[in-house]
Amino acid sequence: MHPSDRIVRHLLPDRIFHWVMAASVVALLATGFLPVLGVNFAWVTIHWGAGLVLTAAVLFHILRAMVWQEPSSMMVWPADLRAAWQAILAALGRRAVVPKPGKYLLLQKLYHHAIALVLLVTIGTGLLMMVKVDTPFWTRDPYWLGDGTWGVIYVLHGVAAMASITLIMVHVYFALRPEKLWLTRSMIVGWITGDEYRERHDPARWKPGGRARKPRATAGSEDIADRARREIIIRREP
Amino acid sequence: MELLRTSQNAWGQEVLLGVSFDLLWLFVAAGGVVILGHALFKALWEPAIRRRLDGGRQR
Repeated sequence: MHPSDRIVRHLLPDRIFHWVMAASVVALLATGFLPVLGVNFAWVTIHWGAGLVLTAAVLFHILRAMVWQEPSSMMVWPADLRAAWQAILAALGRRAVVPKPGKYLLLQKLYHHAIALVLLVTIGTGLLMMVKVDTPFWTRDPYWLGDGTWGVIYVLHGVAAMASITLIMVHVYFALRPEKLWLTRSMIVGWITGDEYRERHDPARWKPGGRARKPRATAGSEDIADRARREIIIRREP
Repeated sequence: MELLRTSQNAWGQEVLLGVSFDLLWLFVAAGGVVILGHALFKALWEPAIRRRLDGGRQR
């Protein structure tokens, strides 16, 4: 494969962010739950240290995504819902025309929003808990909030942390699926092949290196080649 | 199975400590169900659907 056939999917800062986030979340889950499971060690400092790393990474991502990238590529559009419905029909054996997605499938977008919500809850509650920890910057104050309020914060932190386990299990599973390895590779090396791009994405909805586009309304007429580029047709052969 | 962990403070009032760690296995099981369900679908159901749609021929 010639290097010119490579399509950039994830730039280096975004890949670094992803893997820093992954490492910090693994450290947080390990330090948070291994003591619960009976593996005792001095986990508190590592836990809040990894939490600060995660917080910084997430703030970087939010700023970069909102300012330098295309937030619209992660928004759920009606076209995504229509495509998902067609994909469900196709999965159930019905004849269906499944439109090719932009950069991300509906499920990928929904996963992003779910993990974002869960991590923001853990980060927010975790930062509040930092008040109860002695750090080089402040002395702990466990009376800053009342017992009842601390209890609610602990519950939210615990539920969100456990929910992140579910989401991460599913994420790693799909990342290791044979038909998804091309995506996993792109989060390591940054690119996909031209064939993968043309086969799996609608060029009208995702132009690598350009701005993502809101899906257009159904065009009045288009030639067969355009339609083939935009749709995966599942049909019975004559 | 309890959902929450509680205790009593110095004044005998019940205070919330956090979510029950018994729920951890519920969340792990939920992930396992999704993974197993999808794996079974891809391994067993989808090939049968493709064969039916393609009339037995490779697409």
